[in-house]
Amino acid sequence: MNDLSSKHDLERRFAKLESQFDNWEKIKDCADQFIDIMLNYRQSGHPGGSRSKVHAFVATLLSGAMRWDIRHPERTFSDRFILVAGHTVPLIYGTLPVLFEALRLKFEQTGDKRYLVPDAPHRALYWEDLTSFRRNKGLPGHAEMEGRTLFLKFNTGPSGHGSPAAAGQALALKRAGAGEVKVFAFEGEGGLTPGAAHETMNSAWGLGLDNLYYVVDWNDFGIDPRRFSSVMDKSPREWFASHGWRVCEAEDGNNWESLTRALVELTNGANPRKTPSVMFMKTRKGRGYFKFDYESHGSPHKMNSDLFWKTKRTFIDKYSVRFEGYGEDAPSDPEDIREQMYANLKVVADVIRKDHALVDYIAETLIALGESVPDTPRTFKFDVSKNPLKDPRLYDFEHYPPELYAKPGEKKPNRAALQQFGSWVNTWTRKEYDRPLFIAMSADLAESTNIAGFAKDFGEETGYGWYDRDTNPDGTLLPQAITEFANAGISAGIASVNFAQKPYDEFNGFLSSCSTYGSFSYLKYGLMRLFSQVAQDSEIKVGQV
Amino acid sequence: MVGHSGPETADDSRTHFGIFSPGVTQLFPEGHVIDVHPWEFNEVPVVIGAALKTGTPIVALHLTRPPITIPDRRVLGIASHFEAAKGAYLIRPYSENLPRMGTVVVQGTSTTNNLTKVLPKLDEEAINVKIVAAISPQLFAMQDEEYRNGIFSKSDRMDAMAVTNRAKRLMSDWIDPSISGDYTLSSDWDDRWRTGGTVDEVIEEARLSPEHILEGIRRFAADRNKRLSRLEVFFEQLR
Repeated sequence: MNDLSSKHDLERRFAKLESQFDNWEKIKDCADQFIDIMLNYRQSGHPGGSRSKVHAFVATLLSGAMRWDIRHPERTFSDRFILVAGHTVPLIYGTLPVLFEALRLKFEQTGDKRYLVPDAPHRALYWEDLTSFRRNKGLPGHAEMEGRTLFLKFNTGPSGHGSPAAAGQALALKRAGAGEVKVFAFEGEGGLTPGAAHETMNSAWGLGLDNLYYVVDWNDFGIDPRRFSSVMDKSPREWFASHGWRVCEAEDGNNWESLTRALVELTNGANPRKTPSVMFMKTRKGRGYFKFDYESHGSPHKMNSDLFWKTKRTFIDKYSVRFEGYGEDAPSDPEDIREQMYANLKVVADVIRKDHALVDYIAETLIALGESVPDTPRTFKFDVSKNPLKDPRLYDFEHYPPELYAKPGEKKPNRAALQQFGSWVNTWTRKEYDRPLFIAMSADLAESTNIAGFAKDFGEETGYGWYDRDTNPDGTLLPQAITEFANAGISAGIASVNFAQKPYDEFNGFLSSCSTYGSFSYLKYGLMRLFSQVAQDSEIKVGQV
Repeated sequence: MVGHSGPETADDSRTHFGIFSPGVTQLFPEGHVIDVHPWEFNEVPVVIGAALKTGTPIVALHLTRPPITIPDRRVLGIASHFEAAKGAYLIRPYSENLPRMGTVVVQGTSTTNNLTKVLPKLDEEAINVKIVAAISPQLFAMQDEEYRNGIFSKSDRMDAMAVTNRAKRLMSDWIDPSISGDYTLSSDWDDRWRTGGTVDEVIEEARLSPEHILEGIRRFAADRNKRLSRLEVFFEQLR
């Protein structure tokens, strides 16, 4: 496609979406209210960065940019979503209930099973659930891949930590021949300041992750009062472009037209160099919240304060609703607070339920999106009817090939045994299952730590070799630089992609392995800690690192 | 993979020794990680296979740099390398013909290798310590009670010393430091970072050479009654 036809194609796609802006605006309005009410009555959480991302999130979910199935978060080939800025999880809690409410109502009205969310009491996120925000066994304060939020595909919250996990998931999908599955990573500029972000930017380019899509909310504020632009030179364009990424820009991320044009370009624009892509958008932290920038970061308005009720005024006027206790002080009794919270969440839910055209739009869009998710991409390389992890020979060390053991009197370091094991296990699964079991990497220490074995020949059997984005995309040893932190996250991401036919019951995917010197082990801890939590709580099984 | 661990990374100086840092792999809830410390080549595939089989999401494989001579276990009377899959095994059992003098828990490559070099001397001097290879606390915990008690019981833990290529505080999975810590041999014996050099030089400075290990075991064995008396004082104070 030449430049002209490409532009024409993007314009055509944008034009098809323009008619949806009115519906998106209503969804955004309701999501904003859910965020505010949830945080008001809990007196905790992060309003500013949650609100500033709502436009982008709604457009990503409903424009077709992201192929996903709200009813089935376990679907293998759904596009994946990682909220790298995990503290802004009220964004998710505010938005998804708007969508789930439409499906619930349509199912109530029609009984049509297309609208049914299987195991809804545990998988759907309804507005009633928001009363449990930041309460024990309720909705967590940061993003977690479990229960009602299996939509999220990693545990996030510590700044920057979700970035390498997103890259790892994109890599696993590409390596398995499912590169058409996108990984969306939502992040703010503050989260781009940790080293993990830089390690990931380099790694994602080096690995050719053209299925990784960042959406960066450039609101220029974190927790402290100074602007990030006072300590970070230039803009996200230079930050990402200098790492080889394809960059798209929305001048105003809180404007549907500006945002949607950039989003269409992000997901449909030409990418001849097969690089990762980013869309950054200027937003206002605390948009519509009447406290802005750093002040809106990590604390809501005082419960039922004047400013809180002010955030309801526009909604009241626009949708002709009345909030319980409007303009009044907060009840003193905790039970009364809970009742008022429930009543006011219901006010918003009723706005959705009464707007039949909106409900129809949401429900039909979600169904169409769900149906757009492929069962199996044509290029997918795994035979998931077979699972090497269920093969007892994998664990039967007493019958491993004799080459894996040394004779008494020979002089060898124990690390050399890892090389032997690595080359055997990946060539064995190649022979028996036509796939590797392990994806491995090191921090410029692949040979030194002997982890390179996972790519090497074993006797007559041919190894997969070093991964190269152009010449050997089937390689099993990633050419990582000195990026221990990112490697741990990429490893965790790889092991978090489950290709099994029944992912709630078993894991069938890549295991991963990353190495460095023992003295640098602390660099890997952050991501292992989060992966350990995912492994504990996610109903979708994950693998081993 | 925690590679090039311990003071054995001597040539690269103390900036690259993994003595304390590998302890981060212990900072998980029980059951969330399998830490494996094979001391020689033949144990590596064994512990990988055993750890993978558990399905535990994180396997931390601790390896070291220097080559050592693969031991002839039959000649040395050491259990098969396949026993490493059980997380701990006997390098030397108690002799039934002598009074018991306590248990030595050993972990790491140079440490275990050097300890095996003094086994004949222990026999010669009639030092009746039990010696246990500490490969993986998690794999060991998965064994049945009979095996665990036969190899390293909870009572043994109270009457043990460690020989390790990591920091002494990282051996808390194996020994009770209140008394055993006084006898434990580790690179941080004087609470200072070690300097660099050749492997032999650094192992000497770390007091983990065969001579230091033998001396440490002699002291540990000789103090048996004193050690048990200290334990009795503890119990008396509790009563």
